[in-house]
Amino acid sequence: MNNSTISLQRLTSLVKLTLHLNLKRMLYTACIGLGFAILFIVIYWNMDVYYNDMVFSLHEYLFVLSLYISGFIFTGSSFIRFRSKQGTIDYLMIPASNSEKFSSEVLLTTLVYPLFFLLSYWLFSVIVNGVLNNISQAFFMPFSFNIAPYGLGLMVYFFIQTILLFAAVTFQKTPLMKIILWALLVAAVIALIFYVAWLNFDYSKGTDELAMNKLFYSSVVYNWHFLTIPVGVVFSLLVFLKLKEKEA
Amino acid sequence: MISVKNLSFHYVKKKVLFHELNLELGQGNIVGLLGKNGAGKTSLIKILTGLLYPKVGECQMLGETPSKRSPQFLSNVYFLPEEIEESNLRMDKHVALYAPFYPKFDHEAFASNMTSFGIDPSENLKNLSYGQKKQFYISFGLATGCSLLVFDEPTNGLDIPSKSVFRKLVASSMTDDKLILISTHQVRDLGNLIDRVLVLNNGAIIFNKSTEDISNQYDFVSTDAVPDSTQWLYHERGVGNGKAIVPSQGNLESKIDLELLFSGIVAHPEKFKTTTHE
Repeated sequence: MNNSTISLQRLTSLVKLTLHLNLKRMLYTACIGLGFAILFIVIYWNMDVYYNDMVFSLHEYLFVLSLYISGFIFTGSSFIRFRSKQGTIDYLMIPASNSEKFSSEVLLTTLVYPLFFLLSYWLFSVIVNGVLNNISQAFFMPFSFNIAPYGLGLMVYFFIQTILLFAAVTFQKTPLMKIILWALLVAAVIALIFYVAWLNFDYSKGTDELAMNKLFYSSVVYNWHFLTIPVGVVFSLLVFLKLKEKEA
Repeated sequence: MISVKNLSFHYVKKKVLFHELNLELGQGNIVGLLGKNGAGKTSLIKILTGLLYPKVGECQMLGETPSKRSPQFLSNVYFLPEEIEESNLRMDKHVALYAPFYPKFDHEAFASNMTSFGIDPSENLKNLSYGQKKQFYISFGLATGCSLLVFDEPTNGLDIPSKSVFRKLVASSMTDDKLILISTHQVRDLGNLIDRVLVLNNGAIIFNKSTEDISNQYDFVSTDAVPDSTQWLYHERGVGNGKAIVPSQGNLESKIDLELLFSGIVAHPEKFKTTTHE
């Protein structure tokens, strides 16, 4: 790559600038994610599901779930500067290549924000456990950072990020509504694919519903999840091209 | 430095803004791009800076195609738009974050420009008035060391002393390898600053002359001094004596009245007809 495409010095400056300009947005969105986690815990607390018991993996599961929610909001509100003419001019006139601008945005949404949320969630889990383990007879296990079992979920998360990033760069007028509709459309398409897969699923191998679900998961979802990679690449490419053709 | 050939541009197909526009501008000039509201000044500037793409034709700036928006091109061009983005940064933080993109950024010049305007760089941009924000961005732009500086209505929002500071700073930062393009409809604010006048009207460049040529070709006189109205290319009645533009007599020492010239060109373009680049 030549200097006009990617320069480490420029990319570093751009990442610094992007981080600085998005710090508040990161904080607010992480708060929404943690707010959702609190709501989830309160609901389960009232259901007495974990009363007088060891509570395993709650935080790992809840982390992935709240990362999905807050991450989608964060990515959906990317390229926020394009929503004003002045912001668009300012962004496009930054002396950095299209590849650098694209890379810094992808870094922010798919690496920096999840890491930031991971740390926020860890801090949150320490506080929550401190409170819950003192006031209840249940014992909430600490957040273990072992999120490997949710690897597939995280992979799908990164795939959906690219689709939302595309929506964020494409929809500038009434973006919130359009991005929500876009997210619903994507969810509907995924649901439809799963529904068709379920209809065509060979039921004869399953003995009961739980076994069938597991079988479906392993044979359809697990075997086909790699498709998220090419689709993610295609949407990333579309984001890159959209950025390139952007005018003020 | 700027070369525009057969440029055509429109926002909507039925309403063409520029049709086969040609323009050549060299370095070492401070060019005043004048035009009424809606004449196409901002659109032309956006095309020159790569923010809008021409539909047809060729545009070259500093030997590069602006629409490619290469980092080398962008680090050599500074554009201050008329409306400024709302920012929540402290001015010194803004400089720390944006200056690294401009390899020739001169921190001393920036500090000196800020002192001239009387602004404290430790203040937050959101606490400044529109005029003060403009002063900051002008100070920053002049310190970038860019070869091409484009200011769109830079004096909007500036008070009278600041307009004077603006003129002084622009004049003092000018070097032979730079081109400063100032677009405005407030012709009077440019005073003696510019050395070339470019007038855009209805999407066409109807006048492009250096101030030297203007001085050689026209005299700006009171109607009393040249009472023969057949000689007037354009005149305006005023309180007391009127003002007129007449072909140069060679014996009159007159200062260019930009406002009168602009009004004359817009009212009677045929009388001031000019080639693309004289």
